[in-house]
Amino acid sequence: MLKGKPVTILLVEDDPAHAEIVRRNLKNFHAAARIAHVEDGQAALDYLFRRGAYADPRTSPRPAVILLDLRLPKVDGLEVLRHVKKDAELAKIPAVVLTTSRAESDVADAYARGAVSYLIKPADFKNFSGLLETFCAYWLAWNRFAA
Amino acid sequence: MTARKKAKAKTSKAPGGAGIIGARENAVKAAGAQEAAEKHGAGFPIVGIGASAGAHLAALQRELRAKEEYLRAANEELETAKEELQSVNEELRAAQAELDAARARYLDLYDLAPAGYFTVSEKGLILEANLTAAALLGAARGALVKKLITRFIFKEDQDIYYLHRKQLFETGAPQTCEVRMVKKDGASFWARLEAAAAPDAGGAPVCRLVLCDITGRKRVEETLRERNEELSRFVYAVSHDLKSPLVTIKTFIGYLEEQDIPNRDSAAIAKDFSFINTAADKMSRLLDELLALSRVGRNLSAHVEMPLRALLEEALTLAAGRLSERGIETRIIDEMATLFGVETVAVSGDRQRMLEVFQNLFDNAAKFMGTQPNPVIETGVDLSGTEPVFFVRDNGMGLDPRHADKIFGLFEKLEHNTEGVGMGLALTRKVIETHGGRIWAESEGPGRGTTFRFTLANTKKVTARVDRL
Repeated sequence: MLKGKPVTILLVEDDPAHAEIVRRNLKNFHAAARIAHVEDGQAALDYLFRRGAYADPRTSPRPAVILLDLRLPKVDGLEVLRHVKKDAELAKIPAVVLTTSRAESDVADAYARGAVSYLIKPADFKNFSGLLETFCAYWLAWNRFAA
Repeated sequence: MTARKKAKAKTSKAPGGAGIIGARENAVKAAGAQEAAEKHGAGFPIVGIGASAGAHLAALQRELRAKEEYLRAANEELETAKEELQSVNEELRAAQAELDAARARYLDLYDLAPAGYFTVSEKGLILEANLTAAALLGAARGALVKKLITRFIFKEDQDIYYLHRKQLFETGAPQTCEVRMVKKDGASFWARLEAAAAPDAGGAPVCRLVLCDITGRKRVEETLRERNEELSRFVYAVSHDLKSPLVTIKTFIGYLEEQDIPNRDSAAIAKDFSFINTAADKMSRLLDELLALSRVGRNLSAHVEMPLRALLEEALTLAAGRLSERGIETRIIDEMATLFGVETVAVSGDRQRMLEVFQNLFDNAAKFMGTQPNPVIETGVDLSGTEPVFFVRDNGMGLDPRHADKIFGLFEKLEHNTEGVGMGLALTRKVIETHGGRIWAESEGPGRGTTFRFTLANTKKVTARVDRL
């Protein structure tokens, strides 16, 4: 099930506490995953388009999946999605939204702009841990990515 | 029966009328009989004989008397007739005056009604318009007649009108629509059109149209819509931004209970508590600032007029701590030399809020000064344009022009690591907007400084002093 070199998850999250939660829950999958963490939408785009500090593909490898918050400094998550899905190559990377927003308009916009899944951060330890565990099992163990 | 017909009938019925003719005929008949009698008596025409001359004279006298009689009678008849006519005339005049008054009253009601009235043909030509309609369109009444009503309707809104007219003539039921209309001088206003279809005198279908200016109502609706949007943005921001720290608190309490305390992992325990603490602090700051923001729109103190210089100096004093801590030099540029002397402005507003606006912008400039070795903040007013524009300019970190609008959003931050919750500029914008102004940020890019500019309603230009004669 777990084979080959570890995949990279691009985590776009401005709240350091939430980034820590994701990191702790992915610990069990360390062998399979490596987290690249950026704190705002502009940095996410720079990473994906390999600009500035993220120009080197060895230190900034192409992510297999993007885990994206919506409300972000500088460029918000929906805008990140719009740019990524316009690029033929980057459009192949699945983007999973992970946010506290329950707004119907956010859910609809996220799917309209090409998100493959929309996850709401539960305000509950067990549920949050469970959600991240399922996320890892699905994306890191079972899912097959485009090369 | 109309007044005129009544008067005519009276004339024909009046006995005097027939009497005039009767009297004349009688008199003529009497004279004729006299002549015939004399002819029979004498057998000859009257010539040169004394007796017959006397008789002739008598006959002439009789004739004269008869004629006199006739004239007297005729005169009497005429007098009566004249009186009759006069009274009829007076009646007619009264009726006419009544008619005129009624007509004037209805014209008044039509022309000066507090709504514009039009009669419009099926093809959309204005057939009639009242004075209010003419005034609403800023044109003379004569200039409206025979014109297409669509000439006065915004191009973009004409389809609304065409649909309205189509439904009116198709269904026959009254229709209402709202369109923007253009006055003759080009000014525009929002209008409500209420239409009813009716046949004209010849039976052709026409449209009776009531036109009301609803610009005021539309403005209120627009304000309401803006308020609602603001409110939903607010609710969105609050629900997201207050929930975020809650998720943090609950999750790290979970780590403590489930893993780190049972495992006696003291390093992890300390870290968990630190995350919980930070999140709780953030929540409390968010709540405080939300309250502050909700107070801005309400509780506006009375507006006072204050000289800009005094306002700037006080705001600089309030921000002095942060400014001197960072070694920032400040300059006030609040005057412009003109032909008439040195011009500056007086600001009208809630004094406390105005101070907060400048203080927030100074704080913000200080916060984003970056590594600038010679930090400078310039503040004042630019009087070179049509409207005074206030500014706070720094030579600090600058910002990416693409994000220049985002910084005013509620809880928006460009830099994650800076202090504050992203409310200062949202608050500043709200104060400026409640003072009828707008604010924007300009920067040539990162490292090239930032200039905040804003306008305020009710800013008065003041000529400070006259330097020349």
